[in-house]
Amino acid sequence: MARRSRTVVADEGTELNMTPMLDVVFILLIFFIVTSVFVKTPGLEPLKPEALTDAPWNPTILVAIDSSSNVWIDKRPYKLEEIRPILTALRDETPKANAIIQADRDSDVGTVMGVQELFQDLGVPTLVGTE
Amino acid sequence: MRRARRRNNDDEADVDMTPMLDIVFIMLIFFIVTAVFLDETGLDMTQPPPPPEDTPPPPNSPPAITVYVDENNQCSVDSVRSTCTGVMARIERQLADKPGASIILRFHPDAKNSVLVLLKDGVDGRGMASKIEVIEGAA
Repeated sequence: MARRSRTVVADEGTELNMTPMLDVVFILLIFFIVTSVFVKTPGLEPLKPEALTDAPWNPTILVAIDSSSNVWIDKRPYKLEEIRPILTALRDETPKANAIIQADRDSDVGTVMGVQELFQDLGVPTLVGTE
Repeated sequence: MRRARRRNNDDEADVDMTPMLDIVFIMLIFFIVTAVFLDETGLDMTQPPPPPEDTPPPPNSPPAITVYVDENNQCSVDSVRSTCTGVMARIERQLADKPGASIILRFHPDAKNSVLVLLKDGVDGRGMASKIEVIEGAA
């Protein structure tokens, strides 16, 4: 008899109302889902030069330049002249985005600085990626 | 009687929410963890916009040391040929004659990115003011 009432008490103790916790968890989950940004990877990962003074960077727009100086955006190659409308569209999707130019060691300076100037023109902070 | 039954139903909690909680927690932890995954490093090559053509150069512009890299990745400092890895040493020597000079890095558009990063990293590491220019190539 004594035991029974004890287990009954224990059962009532575990009758924890979990609704508030679920509320908090759902809010957190929705917050993270909404603030997650989908980063379009360029499609290839070139061998970037090494540098000592490089700064950490978390970009949302990624552009890769291969050793033949093709500009890769979202898994498609382009020439330097063709990319302005694409980058403008990307910038308009996420106006406060940061960008990075992942240029191969043997890519042309003309292309790298061309993309850099284009990003500057569009008002997107950008760095040239290093190892 | 009915009341007692209802209470029983409530007590039993028809819907067992444990699996849903499991999934929700897993999703939450996934999003928290993947929020910090993109880890890139880079150099800042932002250049000031070029001044309009007709502004005269300011009267007391600081002296400048020009490093030129041509299409074959040959480097020269103030028109003196050098190896690209030796450019920083040459710049240090030139700074003895022109203290406080800013560095102009001029590139042929067909020069390689590795030289660009090497020189920019070098001048940034020594805290020198620099400017990157790309000359008009044959293309």
